[in-house]
Amino acid sequence: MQVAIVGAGTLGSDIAQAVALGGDAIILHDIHEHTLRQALGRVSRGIDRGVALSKIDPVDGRRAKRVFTLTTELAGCAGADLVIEAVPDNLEVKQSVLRALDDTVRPDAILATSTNILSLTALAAATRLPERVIGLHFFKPAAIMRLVEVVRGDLTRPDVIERAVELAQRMHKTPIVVKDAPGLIVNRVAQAYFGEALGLLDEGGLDVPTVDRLMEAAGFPMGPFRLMDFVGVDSAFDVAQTLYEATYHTAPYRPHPRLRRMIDAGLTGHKNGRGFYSDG
Amino acid sequence: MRVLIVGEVPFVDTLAGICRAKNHKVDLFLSDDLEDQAVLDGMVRAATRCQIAIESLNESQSGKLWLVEGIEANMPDAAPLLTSALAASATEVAGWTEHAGRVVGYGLLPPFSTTGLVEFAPALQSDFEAVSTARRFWEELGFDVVRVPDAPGLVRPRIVCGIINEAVRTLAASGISIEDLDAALQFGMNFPRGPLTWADEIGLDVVVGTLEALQRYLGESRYHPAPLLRQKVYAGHLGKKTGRGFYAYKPLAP
Repeated sequence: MQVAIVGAGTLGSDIAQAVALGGDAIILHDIHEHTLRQALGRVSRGIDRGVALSKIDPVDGRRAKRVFTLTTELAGCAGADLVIEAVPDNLEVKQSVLRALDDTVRPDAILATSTNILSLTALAAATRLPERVIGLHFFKPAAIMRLVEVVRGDLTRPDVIERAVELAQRMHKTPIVVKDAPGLIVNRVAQAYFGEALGLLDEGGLDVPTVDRLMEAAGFPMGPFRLMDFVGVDSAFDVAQTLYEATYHTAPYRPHPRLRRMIDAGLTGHKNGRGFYSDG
Repeated sequence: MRVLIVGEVPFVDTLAGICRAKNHKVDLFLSDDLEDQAVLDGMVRAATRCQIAIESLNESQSGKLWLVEGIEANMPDAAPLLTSALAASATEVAGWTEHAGRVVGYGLLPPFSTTGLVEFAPALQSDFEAVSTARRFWEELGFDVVRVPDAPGLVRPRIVCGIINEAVRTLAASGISIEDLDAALQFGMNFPRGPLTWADEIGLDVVVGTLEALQRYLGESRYHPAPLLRQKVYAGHLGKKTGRGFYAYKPLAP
Protein backbone atom coordinates (compact mmCIF):
# COMPACT_ATOMS: atom_id res chain seq x y z
CA MET A 1 0.00 0.00 0.00
CA GLN A 2 1.09 3.59 -0.61
CA VAL A 3 0.27 5.56 2.49
CA ALA A 4 0.45 9.33 2.51
CA ILE A 5 0.72 11.29 5.74
CA VAL A 6 -0.18 14.96 5.65
CA GLY A 7 1.43 16.95 8.47
CA ALA A 8 4.89 15.87 9.60
CA GLY A 9 4.80 17.10 13.18
CA THR A 10 5.29 14.79 16.14
CA LEU A 11 2.10 12.82 15.51
CA GLY A 12 2.57 12.59 11.76
CA SER A 13 6.17 11.43 12.01
CA ASP A 14 5.34 8.87 14.73
CA ILE A 15 2.54 7.47 12.58
CA ALA A 16 4.89 7.43 9.60
CA GLN A 17 7.43 5.43 11.57
CA ALA A 18 4.85 2.79 12.47
CA VAL A 19 3.51 2.60 8.91
CA ALA A 20 7.03 2.25 7.50
CA LEU A 21 7.88 -0.55 9.94
CA GLY A 22 4.76 -2.36 8.76
CA GLY A 23 6.22 -2.56 5.28
CA ASP A 24 4.10 0.00 3.43
CA ALA A 25 5.56 2.86 1.40
CA ILE A 26 5.25 6.39 2.78
CA ILE A 27 4.64 9.72 1.14
CA LEU A 28 5.28 12.25 3.89
CA HIS A 29 3.87 15.73 3.28
CA ASP A 30 4.31 18.99 5.09
CA ILE A 31 4.08 22.59 3.90
CA HIS A 32 7.51 23.26 5.46
CA GLU A 33 10.66 21.58 4.14
CA HIS A 34 12.49 21.88 7.43
CA THR A 35 9.63 20.10 9.22
CA LEU A 36 9.99 17.25 6.75
CA ARG A 37 13.71 17.00 7.44
CA GLN A 38 13.13 17.08 11.20
CA ALA A 39 10.49 14.38 10.81
CA LEU A 40 12.86 12.12 8.96
CA GLY A 41 15.44 12.61 11.70
CA ARG A 42 12.87 11.81 14.37
CA VAL A 43 11.80 8.65 12.56
CA SER A 44 15.37 7.55 12.05
CA ARG A 45 16.22 8.06 15.72
CA GLY A 46 13.02 6.29 16.76
CA ILE A 47 13.87 3.28 14.64
CA ASP A 48 17.46 3.21 15.93
CA ARG A 49 16.19 3.29 19.52
CA GLY A 50 13.79 0.45 18.78
CA VAL A 51 16.54 -1.64 17.23
CA ALA A 52 18.86 -0.93 20.19
CA LEU A 53 16.11 -2.09 22.59
CA SER A 54 15.57 -5.21 20.44
CA LYS A 55 11.99 -4.16 19.76
CA ILE A 56 12.59 -3.68 16.06
CA ASP A 57 14.32 -6.15 13.78
CA PRO A 58 17.37 -4.41 12.25
CA VAL A 59 16.43 -5.59 8.74
CA ASP A 60 12.93 -4.13 9.11
CA GLY A 61 14.46 -0.97 10.53
CA ARG A 62 16.82 -0.48 7.58
CA ARG A 63 14.04 -1.17 5.08
CA ALA A 64 11.66 1.22 6.87
CA LYS A 65 14.10 4.13 6.58
CA ARG A 66 14.23 3.70 2.81
CA VAL A 67 10.51 3.78 1.99
CA PHE A 68 10.01 7.52 2.44
CA THR A 69 9.14 10.02 -0.29
CA LEU A 70 9.00 13.62 0.94
CA THR A 71 6.85 16.32 -0.62
CA THR A 72 5.65 19.86 0.10
CA GLU A 73 2.99 19.60 -2.61
CA LEU A 74 -0.36 17.98 -1.85
CA ALA A 75 -0.33 16.76 -5.44
CA GLY A 76 2.53 14.53 -4.36
CA CYS A 77 -0.08 12.43 -2.51
CA ALA A 78 -2.13 11.75 -5.64
CA GLY A 79 -0.99 8.14 -5.92
CA ALA A 80 -1.73 7.19 -2.35
CA ASP A 81 -4.09 4.31 -1.50
CA LEU A 82 -4.69 5.76 1.96
CA VAL A 83 -4.00 9.22 3.35
CA ILE A 84 -3.76 10.04 7.04
CA GLU A 85 -4.04 13.71 7.89
CA ALA A 86 -2.15 14.78 10.98
CA VAL A 87 -2.56 18.54 10.77
CA PRO A 88 -3.53 20.66 13.82
CA ASP A 89 -6.71 19.45 15.59
CA ASN A 90 -8.96 22.27 14.42
CA LEU A 91 -12.21 21.74 12.50
CA GLU A 92 -11.65 24.33 9.77
CA VAL A 93 -8.04 23.34 9.19
CA LYS A 94 -8.85 19.64 8.95
CA GLN A 95 -11.91 20.16 6.78
CA SER A 96 -9.94 22.26 4.31
CA VAL A 97 -7.15 19.66 4.12
CA LEU A 98 -9.68 16.85 3.63
CA ARG A 99 -11.43 18.82 0.88
CA ALA A 100 -8.12 19.41 -0.87
CA LEU A 101 -7.26 15.72 -0.57
CA ASP A 102 -10.72 14.84 -1.89
CA ASP A 103 -9.71 16.58 -5.14
CA THR A 104 -6.23 15.07 -5.22
CA VAL A 105 -6.54 11.34 -4.55
CA ARG A 106 -8.37 8.60 -6.44
CA PRO A 107 -12.06 7.98 -5.56
CA ASP A 108 -11.16 4.53 -4.19
CA ALA A 109 -8.44 5.88 -1.92
CA ILE A 110 -9.18 6.07 1.79
CA LEU A 111 -9.00 9.35 3.69
CA ALA A 112 -8.26 9.02 7.41
CA THR A 113 -8.34 11.72 10.04
CA SER A 114 -6.12 11.37 13.12
CA THR A 115 -8.26 13.73 15.16
CA ASN A 116 -8.27 13.35 18.93
CA ILE A 117 -11.44 15.31 19.62
CA LEU A 118 -13.35 16.27 16.48
CA SER A 119 -16.34 14.41 15.10
CA LEU A 120 -15.52 12.12 12.19
CA THR A 121 -19.00 12.74 10.84
CA ALA A 122 -18.46 16.52 10.78
CA LEU A 123 -15.13 16.08 9.04
CA ALA A 124 -16.40 13.54 6.51
CA ALA A 125 -19.40 15.72 5.68
CA ALA A 126 -17.01 18.38 4.33
CA THR A 127 -15.92 15.95 1.59
CA ARG A 128 -17.68 14.70 -1.54
CA LEU A 129 -17.19 10.99 -0.75
CA PRO A 130 -17.84 10.56 2.99
CA GLU A 131 -18.13 6.79 2.59
CA ARG A 132 -14.35 6.56 2.19
CA VAL A 133 -13.50 8.78 5.17
CA ILE A 134 -12.57 7.16 8.49
CA GLY A 135 -10.83 8.04 11.72
CA LEU A 136 -7.55 6.52 12.85
CA HIS A 137 -7.10 7.57 16.46
CA PHE A 138 -3.60 6.91 17.73
CA PHE A 139 -2.35 7.31 21.30
CA LYS A 140 0.65 9.27 22.42
CA PRO A 141 3.37 8.33 21.73
CA ALA A 142 1.99 7.00 18.46
CA ALA A 143 5.12 5.15 17.48
CA ILE A 144 4.86 2.98 20.60
CA MET A 145 1.29 2.76 21.90
CA ARG A 146 -0.40 -0.28 20.42
CA LEU A 147 -3.99 0.83 20.29
CA VAL A 148 -5.66 2.42 17.27
CA GLU A 149 -9.33 3.31 17.41
CA VAL A 150 -10.53 2.80 13.84
CA VAL A 151 -13.52 5.10 13.62
CA ARG A 152 -16.42 4.47 11.29
CA GLY A 153 -19.12 6.98 10.46
CA ASP A 154 -22.71 6.19 9.56
CA LEU A 155 -21.84 6.25 5.89
CA THR A 156 -18.47 4.49 5.96
CA ARG A 157 -18.21 1.51 3.59
CA PRO A 158 -17.31 -1.77 5.35
CA ASP A 159 -14.47 -2.60 2.93
CA VAL A 160 -12.83 0.73 3.78
CA ILE A 161 -12.80 -0.28 7.44
CA GLU A 162 -11.37 -3.69 6.57
CA ARG A 163 -8.46 -2.18 4.64
CA ALA A 164 -7.76 0.26 7.47
CA VAL A 165 -7.79 -2.54 10.03
CA GLU A 166 -5.35 -4.53 7.89
CA LEU A 167 -3.02 -1.54 7.69
CA ALA A 168 -3.17 -1.10 11.47
CA GLN A 169 -2.30 -4.76 11.94
CA ARG A 170 0.67 -4.45 9.59
CA MET A 171 1.78 -1.51 11.73
CA HIS A 172 1.86 -3.94 14.70
CA LYS A 173 -1.02 -2.07 16.30
CA THR A 174 -4.15 -3.43 17.96
CA PRO A 175 -7.06 -1.93 16.00
CA ILE A 176 -10.49 -1.64 17.56
CA VAL A 177 -13.34 -0.58 15.33
CA VAL A 178 -15.63 1.95 16.99
CA LYS A 179 -18.53 4.01 15.77
CA ASP A 180 -18.17 7.76 15.79
CA ALA A 181 -19.33 9.06 19.19
CA PRO A 182 -18.04 11.71 21.60
CA GLY A 183 -14.86 10.45 23.23
CA LEU A 184 -15.00 7.15 21.29
CA ILE A 185 -13.88 4.58 23.87
CA VAL A 186 -10.61 5.56 25.48
CA ASN A 187 -11.02 9.33 25.88
CA ARG A 188 -14.45 8.79 27.38
CA VAL A 189 -13.24 6.33 30.03
CA ALA A 190 -10.13 8.45 30.59
CA GLN A 191 -12.41 11.28 31.75
CA ALA A 192 -13.35 9.14 34.72
CA TYR A 193 -9.68 8.55 35.57
CA PHE A 194 -8.80 12.23 35.44
CA GLY A 195 -12.13 13.52 36.72
CA GLU A 196 -12.23 11.36 39.86
CA ALA A 197 -8.66 12.29 40.70
CA LEU A 198 -9.39 16.02 40.29
CA GLY A 199 -12.59 15.69 42.32
CA LEU A 200 -10.68 14.03 45.16
CA LEU A 201 -8.45 17.07 45.51
CA ASP A 202 -11.54 19.20 46.14
CA GLU A 203 -12.34 17.39 49.34
CA GLY A 204 -9.14 18.38 51.06
CA GLY A 205 -6.57 16.31 52.89
CA LEU A 206 -5.02 14.81 49.78
CA ASP A 207 -2.23 16.07 47.59
CA VAL A 208 -1.27 15.34 44.00
CA PRO A 209 1.77 13.13 44.73
CA THR A 210 -0.19 10.96 47.20
CA VAL A 211 -2.95 10.25 44.68
CA ASP A 212 -0.39 9.43 42.00
CA ARG A 213 1.54 7.21 44.40
CA LEU A 214 -1.61 5.24 45.27
CA MET A 215 -2.66 4.78 41.65
CA GLU A 216 0.83 3.75 40.63
CA ALA A 217 0.77 1.17 43.43
CA ALA A 218 -2.49 -0.08 41.90
CA GLY A 219 -0.60 -0.78 38.69
CA PHE A 220 -0.90 2.36 36.57
CA PRO A 221 2.47 3.24 35.00
CA MET A 222 1.55 6.89 35.53
CA GLY A 223 -0.79 8.29 38.14
CA PRO A 224 -3.56 10.57 36.85
CA PHE A 225 -1.73 13.85 37.46
CA ARG A 226 1.57 12.67 36.00
CA LEU A 227 -0.39 11.42 33.01
CA MET A 228 -2.19 14.74 32.56
CA ASP A 229 1.18 16.49 32.60
CA PHE A 230 2.42 14.00 30.01
CA VAL A 231 -0.47 14.40 27.55
CA GLY A 232 -0.62 18.12 28.33
CA VAL A 233 -3.08 19.75 30.72
CA ASP A 234 -4.41 21.77 27.78
CA SER A 235 -4.96 18.60 25.79
CA ALA A 236 -6.76 16.94 28.73
CA PHE A 237 -8.94 20.03 29.05
CA ASP A 238 -9.73 20.11 25.30
CA VAL A 239 -10.86 16.49 25.39
CA ALA A 240 -13.00 17.10 28.47
CA GLN A 241 -14.50 20.29 27.08
CA THR A 242 -15.28 18.65 23.73
CA LEU A 243 -16.93 15.69 25.40
CA TYR A 244 -18.98 18.00 27.63
CA GLU A 245 -20.17 20.11 24.71
CA ALA A 246 -20.78 17.15 22.42
CA THR A 247 -23.00 15.47 25.01
CA TYR A 248 -24.99 18.66 25.55
CA HIS A 249 -23.57 19.21 29.00
CA THR A 250 -23.99 15.75 30.46
CA ALA A 251 -22.90 16.28 34.06
CA PRO A 252 -20.36 13.46 34.50
CA TYR A 253 -18.26 15.01 31.74
CA ARG A 254 -18.07 18.48 33.17
CA PRO A 255 -14.44 19.66 33.01
CA HIS A 256 -12.86 20.57 36.30
CA PRO A 257 -12.27 24.32 36.80
CA ARG A 258 -8.77 23.59 38.02
CA LEU A 259 -7.70 22.61 34.50
CA ARG A 260 -8.88 25.94 33.08
CA ARG A 261 -7.08 27.82 35.83
CA MET A 262 -3.85 25.91 35.23
CA ILE A 263 -3.99 26.61 31.50
CA ASP A 264 -4.61 30.30 32.17
CA ALA A 265 -1.55 30.26 34.42
CA GLY A 266 0.57 28.56 31.77
CA LEU A 267 0.84 25.33 33.78
CA THR A 268 0.28 23.05 30.82
CA GLY A 269 2.63 20.31 31.93
CA HIS A 270 5.05 18.35 29.85
CA LYS A 271 5.35 20.89 27.10
CA ASN A 272 6.86 23.54 29.36
CA GLY A 273 7.97 21.60 32.41
CA ARG A 274 5.37 23.11 34.73
CA GLY A 275 2.01 21.50 35.35
CA PHE A 276 0.83 19.48 38.31
CA TYR A 277 4.54 18.90 38.84
CA SER A 278 7.37 21.28 38.05
CA ASP A 279 10.76 20.36 36.69
CA GLY A 280 13.36 21.66 39.09
CA MET B 1 -2.75 -11.44 67.85
CA ARG B 2 -6.15 -13.06 67.64
CA VAL B 3 -7.69 -11.60 64.50
CA LEU B 4 -11.30 -11.88 63.36
CA ILE B 5 -11.74 -11.42 59.61
CA VAL B 6 -15.22 -11.33 58.08
CA GLY B 7 -16.36 -10.45 54.58
CA GLU B 8 -16.31 -11.24 50.89
CA VAL B 9 -14.20 -13.70 48.97
CA PRO B 10 -11.56 -13.67 47.67
CA PHE B 11 -10.48 -10.59 49.56
CA VAL B 12 -10.77 -12.05 53.06
CA ASP B 13 -8.93 -15.22 52.03
CA THR B 14 -5.96 -13.17 50.85
CA LEU B 15 -5.99 -11.05 53.97
CA ALA B 16 -6.23 -14.11 56.22
CA GLY B 17 -3.25 -15.63 54.43
CA ILE B 18 -1.17 -12.51 55.00
CA CYS B 19 -2.12 -12.45 58.70
CA ARG B 20 -1.37 -16.14 59.21
CA ALA B 21 2.00 -15.74 57.53
CA LYS B 22 2.82 -13.28 60.31
CA ASN B 23 1.71 -15.83 62.93
CA HIS B 24 -1.57 -14.19 63.83
CA LYS B 25 -4.32 -16.52 64.95
CA VAL B 26 -7.09 -15.88 62.42
CA ASP B 27 -10.80 -16.64 62.75
CA LEU B 28 -12.10 -16.32 59.19
CA PHE B 29 -15.77 -16.06 58.24
CA LEU B 30 -17.15 -15.58 54.74
CA SER B 31 -20.14 -13.28 54.62
CA ASP B 32 -22.00 -15.69 52.32
CA ASP B 33 -21.79 -18.41 54.98
CA LEU B 34 -23.39 -16.23 57.67
CA GLU B 35 -26.89 -17.20 56.52
CA ASP B 36 -26.24 -20.39 58.44
CA GLN B 37 -27.13 -19.78 62.09
CA ALA B 38 -24.38 -22.07 63.36
CA VAL B 39 -21.77 -20.14 61.39
CA LEU B 40 -23.20 -16.86 62.62
CA ASP B 41 -23.01 -18.06 66.21
CA GLY B 42 -19.40 -19.08 65.61
CA MET B 43 -18.61 -15.61 64.34
CA VAL B 44 -20.18 -13.98 67.39
CA ARG B 45 -18.11 -16.24 69.66
CA ALA B 46 -14.97 -15.36 67.72
CA ALA B 47 -15.81 -11.66 68.13
CA THR B 48 -15.94 -12.01 71.90
CA ARG B 49 -12.36 -13.23 72.00
CA CYS B 50 -10.67 -11.29 69.24
CA GLN B 51 -8.01 -8.64 69.81
CA ILE B 52 -8.67 -6.95 66.47
CA ALA B 53 -11.43 -7.37 63.89
CA ILE B 54 -11.38 -6.62 60.18
CA GLU B 55 -14.57 -6.42 58.13
CA SER B 56 -14.89 -6.24 54.38
CA LEU B 57 -18.51 -6.34 53.25
CA ASN B 58 -19.28 -3.76 50.61
CA GLU B 59 -22.22 -5.00 48.56
CA SER B 60 -24.46 -2.44 50.28
CA GLN B 61 -24.73 -0.02 53.18
CA SER B 62 -27.38 -2.20 54.83
CA GLY B 63 -25.26 -5.34 54.49
CA LYS B 64 -22.34 -3.61 56.13
CA LEU B 65 -24.57 -2.22 58.88
CA TRP B 66 -25.96 -5.68 59.69
CA LEU B 67 -22.49 -7.20 59.82
CA VAL B 68 -20.84 -4.43 61.85
CA GLU B 69 -23.64 -4.47 64.41
CA GLY B 70 -23.29 -8.25 64.70
CA ILE B 71 -19.56 -8.06 65.33
CA GLU B 72 -18.90 -4.86 67.23
CA ALA B 73 -21.36 -5.27 70.09
CA ASN B 74 -19.68 -8.57 70.98
CA MET B 75 -16.06 -7.40 70.79
CA PRO B 76 -13.92 -6.78 73.86
CA ASP B 77 -13.97 -3.06 74.74
CA ALA B 78 -10.39 -2.28 73.73
CA ALA B 79 -10.31 -4.19 70.45
CA PRO B 80 -10.17 -2.04 67.29
CA LEU B 81 -12.52 -2.68 64.38
CA LEU B 82 -10.96 -2.09 60.98
CA THR B 83 -13.65 -1.30 58.46
CA SER B 84 -13.29 -1.40 54.68
CA ALA B 85 -14.44 2.12 53.88
CA LEU B 86 -16.06 1.45 50.50
CA ALA B 87 -19.82 1.05 50.96
CA ALA B 88 -19.69 3.56 53.82
CA SER B 89 -17.11 5.86 55.33
CA ALA B 90 -15.37 4.82 58.55
CA THR B 91 -17.16 7.70 60.28
CA GLU B 92 -20.56 6.42 59.20
CA VAL B 93 -19.65 2.89 60.32
CA ALA B 94 -18.39 4.20 63.67
CA GLY B 95 -21.74 5.92 64.10
CA TRP B 96 -23.46 2.52 64.01
CA THR B 97 -21.40 1.11 66.87
CA GLU B 98 -21.47 1.15 70.68
CA HIS B 99 -17.81 2.14 70.99
CA ALA B 100 -17.30 4.48 68.06
CA GLY B 101 -13.73 5.30 69.07
CA ARG B 102 -12.55 1.78 68.16
CA VAL B 103 -13.43 2.03 64.47
CA VAL B 104 -10.65 2.85 61.98
CA GLY B 105 -11.09 2.73 58.21
CA TYR B 106 -8.83 1.12 55.63
CA GLY B 107 -8.79 0.72 51.88
CA LEU B 108 -7.41 -2.16 49.88
CA LEU B 109 -8.46 -2.90 46.32
CA PRO B 110 -8.49 -6.35 44.76
CA PRO B 111 -6.73 -7.97 43.18
CA PHE B 112 -3.82 -8.15 45.53
CA SER B 113 -1.84 -11.18 46.57
CA THR B 114 0.68 -9.59 48.85
CA THR B 115 1.20 -6.46 50.91
CA GLY B 116 1.66 -3.07 49.31
CA LEU B 117 0.07 0.26 50.14
CA VAL B 118 -2.95 0.32 52.43
CA GLU B 119 -5.08 3.44 52.63
CA PHE B 120 -5.50 4.38 56.28
CA ALA B 121 -8.57 6.44 57.19
CA PRO B 122 -9.33 7.17 60.84
CA ALA B 123 -12.96 8.14 61.48
CA LEU B 124 -13.83 11.46 63.06
CA GLN B 125 -14.57 9.47 66.21
CA SER B 126 -11.46 7.25 66.20
CA ASP B 127 -9.52 7.36 69.45
CA PHE B 128 -5.77 7.56 69.71
CA GLU B 129 -5.26 3.98 70.94
CA ALA B 130 -7.33 2.45 68.17
CA VAL B 131 -5.51 4.49 65.53
CA SER B 132 -2.04 3.56 66.85
CA THR B 133 -2.95 -0.10 67.23
CA ALA B 134 -4.42 -0.21 63.75
CA ARG B 135 -1.44 1.54 62.16
CA ARG B 136 1.02 -0.77 63.90
CA PHE B 137 -1.05 -3.79 62.83
CA TRP B 138 -0.87 -2.88 59.13
CA GLU B 139 2.80 -1.97 59.33
CA GLU B 140 3.71 -5.23 61.05
CA LEU B 141 1.89 -7.16 58.32
CA GLY B 142 4.25 -5.47 55.88
CA PHE B 143 1.98 -2.81 54.39
CA ASP B 144 3.03 0.76 53.70
CA VAL B 145 0.42 2.87 55.46
CA VAL B 146 -0.82 5.92 53.55
CA ARG B 147 -3.06 8.27 55.48
CA VAL B 148 -6.05 9.47 53.43
CA PRO B 149 -9.18 11.45 54.37
CA ASP B 150 -12.14 9.31 55.42
CA ALA B 151 -14.82 9.10 52.71
CA PRO B 152 -16.52 6.20 50.98
CA GLY B 153 -14.27 4.67 48.36
CA LEU B 154 -11.22 6.46 49.79
CA VAL B 155 -8.81 6.95 46.85
CA ARG B 156 -8.12 3.85 44.76
CA PRO B 157 -11.53 2.18 45.05
CA ARG B 158 -13.24 5.47 44.21
CA ILE B 159 -11.15 6.16 41.14
CA VAL B 160 -11.29 2.57 39.89
CA CYS B 161 -15.05 2.21 40.47
CA GLY B 162 -15.52 5.52 38.66
CA ILE B 163 -13.52 4.17 35.74
CA ILE B 164 -15.47 0.92 35.75
CA ASN B 165 -18.80 2.76 35.79
CA GLU B 166 -17.85 4.88 32.79
CA ALA B 167 -16.44 1.84 31.01
CA VAL B 168 -19.72 -0.03 31.45
CA ARG B 169 -21.72 2.93 30.12
CA THR B 170 -19.34 3.16 27.19
CA LEU B 171 -19.60 -0.58 26.55
CA ALA B 172 -23.37 -0.38 26.39
CA ALA B 173 -23.43 2.75 24.21
CA SER B 174 -20.76 1.62 21.77
CA GLY B 175 -21.80 -1.98 21.23
CA ILE B 176 -18.19 -3.17 21.13
CA SER B 177 -17.17 -6.47 22.68
CA ILE B 178 -16.00 -6.77 26.29
CA GLU B 179 -12.61 -7.95 25.07
CA ASP B 180 -12.25 -4.93 22.78
CA LEU B 181 -13.19 -2.53 25.55
CA ASP B 182 -10.66 -4.00 27.96
CA ALA B 183 -7.99 -4.07 25.23
CA ALA B 184 -8.70 -0.43 24.40
CA LEU B 185 -7.93 0.73 27.92
CA GLN B 186 -4.93 -1.52 28.34
CA PHE B 187 -3.27 -0.64 25.06
CA GLY B 188 -4.52 2.93 24.74
CA MET B 189 -3.96 4.07 28.30
CA ASN B 190 -1.71 1.41 29.84
CA PHE B 191 -4.32 0.44 32.41
CA PRO B 192 -2.91 -2.50 34.38
CA ARG B 193 -5.99 -4.50 33.36
CA GLY B 194 -9.19 -3.82 31.50
CA PRO B 195 -11.94 -2.17 33.56
CA LEU B 196 -14.35 -5.06 32.99
CA THR B 197 -11.76 -7.63 34.08
CA TRP B 198 -11.05 -5.43 37.08
CA ALA B 199 -14.75 -5.29 37.96
CA ASP B 200 -14.85 -9.10 37.89
CA GLU B 201 -11.87 -9.20 40.28
CA ILE B 202 -13.36 -6.70 42.72
CA GLY B 203 -16.90 -8.08 42.54
CA LEU B 204 -19.65 -6.24 40.66
CA ASP B 205 -21.70 -6.03 43.87
CA VAL B 206 -18.80 -4.29 45.63
CA VAL B 207 -18.45 -1.87 42.71
CA VAL B 208 -22.16 -1.04 42.92
CA GLY B 209 -22.01 -0.76 46.73
CA THR B 210 -19.11 1.69 46.45
CA LEU B 211 -20.78 3.76 43.71
CA GLU B 212 -24.02 3.94 45.68
CA ALA B 213 -22.12 5.18 48.74
CA LEU B 214 -20.42 7.85 46.65
CA GLN B 215 -23.75 8.88 45.20
CA ARG B 216 -25.24 9.14 48.70
CA TYR B 217 -22.38 11.27 49.93
CA LEU B 218 -21.63 13.47 46.94
CA GLY B 219 -24.99 13.47 45.21
CA GLU B 220 -23.47 13.53 41.74
CA SER B 221 -25.05 11.69 38.84
CA ARG B 222 -21.71 10.31 37.66
CA TYR B 223 -21.86 7.79 40.55
CA HIS B 224 -25.22 6.43 39.57
CA PRO B 225 -24.43 2.79 38.76
CA ALA B 226 -24.62 2.05 35.05
CA PRO B 227 -27.79 0.08 34.20
CA LEU B 228 -25.83 -2.91 32.91
CA LEU B 229 -23.84 -3.13 36.15
CA ARG B 230 -27.02 -3.26 38.17
CA GLN B 231 -28.59 -5.82 35.85
CA LYS B 232 -25.59 -8.07 36.25
CA VAL B 233 -25.80 -7.86 40.04
CA TYR B 234 -29.51 -8.76 39.88
CA ALA B 235 -28.56 -11.73 37.71
CA GLY B 236 -25.92 -12.92 40.19
CA HIS B 237 -23.09 -12.30 37.70
CA LEU B 238 -20.87 -10.89 40.40
CA GLY B 239 -17.53 -11.71 38.86
CA LYS B 240 -14.81 -14.24 39.49
CA LYS B 241 -16.20 -15.26 42.87
CA THR B 242 -19.44 -16.53 41.27
CA GLY B 243 -17.78 -17.92 38.17
CA ARG B 244 -19.23 -15.20 35.95
CA GLY B 245 -19.22 -11.44 35.74
CA PHE B 246 -18.56 -9.72 32.45
CA TYR B 247 -16.46 -12.77 31.58
CA ALA B 248 -17.12 -16.41 32.36
CA TYR B 249 -14.58 -18.20 34.54
CA LYS B 250 -15.74 -21.76 34.55
CA PRO B 251 -18.28 -23.75 32.56
CA LEU B 252 -21.85 -22.95 33.57
CA ALA B 253 -23.69 -25.78 35.31
CA PRO B 254 -25.77 -27.87 32.87
